[in-house]
Amino acid sequence: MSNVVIDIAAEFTGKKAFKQADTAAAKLTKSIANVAKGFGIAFSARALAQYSKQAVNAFIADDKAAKVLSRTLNNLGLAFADPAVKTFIADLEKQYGVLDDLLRPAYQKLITTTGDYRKSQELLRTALDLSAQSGFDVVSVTDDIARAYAGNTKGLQKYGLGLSKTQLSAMSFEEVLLRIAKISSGQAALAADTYSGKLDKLNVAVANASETIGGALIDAFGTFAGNGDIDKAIGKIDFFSKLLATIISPKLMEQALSGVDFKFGIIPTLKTPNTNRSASPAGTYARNQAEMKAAAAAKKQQADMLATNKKTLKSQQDALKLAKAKAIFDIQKIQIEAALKGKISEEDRIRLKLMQAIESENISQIEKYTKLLDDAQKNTDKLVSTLAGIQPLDDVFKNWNFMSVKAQLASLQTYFNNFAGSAASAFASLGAAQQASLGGYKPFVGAAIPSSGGASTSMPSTAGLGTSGTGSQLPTGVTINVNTGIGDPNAIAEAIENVLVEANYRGTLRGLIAV
Amino acid sequence: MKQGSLAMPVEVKGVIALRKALNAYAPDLAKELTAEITKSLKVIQKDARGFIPSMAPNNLYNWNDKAQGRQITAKTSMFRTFNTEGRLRMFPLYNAAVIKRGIVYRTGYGKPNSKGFRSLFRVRNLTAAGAIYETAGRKNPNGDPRSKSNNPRAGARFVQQGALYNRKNAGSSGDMRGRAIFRAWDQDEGKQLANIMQAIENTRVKFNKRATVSSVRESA
Repeated sequence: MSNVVIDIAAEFTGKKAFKQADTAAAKLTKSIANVAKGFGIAFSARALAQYSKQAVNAFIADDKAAKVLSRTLNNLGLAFADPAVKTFIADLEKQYGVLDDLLRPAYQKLITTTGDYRKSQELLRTALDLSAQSGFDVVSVTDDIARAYAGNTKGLQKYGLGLSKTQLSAMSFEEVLLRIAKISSGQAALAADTYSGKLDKLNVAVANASETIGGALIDAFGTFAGNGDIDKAIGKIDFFSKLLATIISPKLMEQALSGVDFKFGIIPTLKTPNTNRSASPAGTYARNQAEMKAAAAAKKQQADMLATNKKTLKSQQDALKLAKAKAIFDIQKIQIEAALKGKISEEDRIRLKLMQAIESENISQIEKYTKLLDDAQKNTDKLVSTLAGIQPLDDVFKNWNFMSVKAQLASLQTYFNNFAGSAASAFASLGAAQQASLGGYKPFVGAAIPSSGGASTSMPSTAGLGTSGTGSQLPTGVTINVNTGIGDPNAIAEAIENVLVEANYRGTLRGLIAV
Repeated sequence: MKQGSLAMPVEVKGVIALRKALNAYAPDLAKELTAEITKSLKVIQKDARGFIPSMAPNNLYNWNDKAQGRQITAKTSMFRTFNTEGRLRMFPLYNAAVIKRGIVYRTGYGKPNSKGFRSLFRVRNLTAAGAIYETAGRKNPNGDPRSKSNNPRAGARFVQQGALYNRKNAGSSGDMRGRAIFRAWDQDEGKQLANIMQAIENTRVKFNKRATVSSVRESA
């Protein structure tokens, strides 16, 4: 394939594979160097002296931790389990490559909490799995598990078990353990099988060798010093180690290590570890009795713990009841209750109920009334929106042409004036024979039209009128009053209409309006 | 940042880290920088494409990818092969459009090479025919008398048709002579490289300014 290319600029980053190889080689070199140091191969006198010091210190620390654990077991009445625990920790150490420096304190936490050495062993295995899965060290994981055993599951939240705080609180310890096992089962074994895990195992072996050699050195030097003063002996270890370096040769070392079974550290095959078991039946009986006693104690401890938890729960419930009782005298609540008894709208009632629920911290009621209030508000909004959409009715009278009462009366007056005038003049223009043919009737002759004033007016005076041409043919004293009332145009119009209709019926207004 | 001479490639330090940081914390600056680099690389690309003749150089008979109407021979046949052993592959014919399309650039950094270097920006002549046109005559500018080819003087013919540009020994990059991308790069005389470096420097300054507390206070 053609590869014609201009690399305009380049940056040296090194190769990943090179880096990995370098790191791996460095690790391997370090491990091999440690092993080499541990087994005294290719030692210089100085290195041996330094190593001897470290080995002695490691042995002292390890011995101390082992004794502390033994004492704890003894205090808990589990002295019989000491060899089993030691074997268990040694096996775990080799199996998973975790130093006993971590395993012992972890186990100690568990045994102190549970009081059951078998249960503690199971829990330690679970803790190792969880530690490998989560990356937290086994001591802190064990601490959290021990707390969870006592009912405090807060520490387990950080391991990402997929459980909420509430779920963790609600679950029993066994359920939590099942969940942990589901998530992390087999992780420790898997981790131990990786390259890193194998290196850890190597380190454990070296550390154990170091401790064993340190112990041997102390024993030997104690004997060598003669007086058994180990503290002084440590101070002289340089001298001793140099001496040792001169006498150790690869050949001698090979011979010395040929009889070693590495299963339990550097222990000669002829020397079996002390199992602290009595060979006599009486010893077995005593051990069984102690075991039964310890199991009973562990059971009692667990029962006590459960009882304490139950007691705590009860006191919490009592506190809640007390709070409820106090609520009876709560002024706020009383006010709400009083308001509820009044005449209120449905929405106000829901509001009050919600306030009441909030006051009494009743979650289900709060949820219920919040929902109801929400619905009520939605309905109100809907109603408002519907009302807003309704258009006002048009004014049905807007096109009506009402004449004012005064104008109507003025019109009437004009009419009568004209009528009277025209009738009188028409009569006057008639000849005498014609006037006589009318039977001597002389309409409106001598009549006077009074000026109208106010809302009430009078018909023309009948003075001078007569039935026989004297101008007195109409009854005297006829007055038409139009009672209009005040303000209501409909009423006014109706009244006027009635007057006019009546006048029309009487024959005096014929032709004035169409009725 | 270390900027070497204009001999290719320039070794710089910290550009990858800078671009990673830009991508993570200032994507706008990362885009801006890529746009600047693209601008410069496009100049080289455009020039290089301009150096590709529309037809195969003279005297290079039957290399053109225009077999229509011509006698079918071993070279013009669709079943022609590059070799008869191992992987079978048609001999690449000259097609200016294809070759031009194959002149590409890349603004992102690549994987480390066998010596642990990662190229930051590159211009490539991808096609096989383009590579032949680019580099033919490098090794035997006067032809190879020992060649068993039908055209043992092909190298000389190429050199006659078009000289190789740029320098033969450009540090660790080896022979940098060519007729398209190398010619464009040579004629540019490092202007685009300077532009790219300047763009990186400008972006670095902007990024640092943005990252300092004082700039936050100024902007606040």
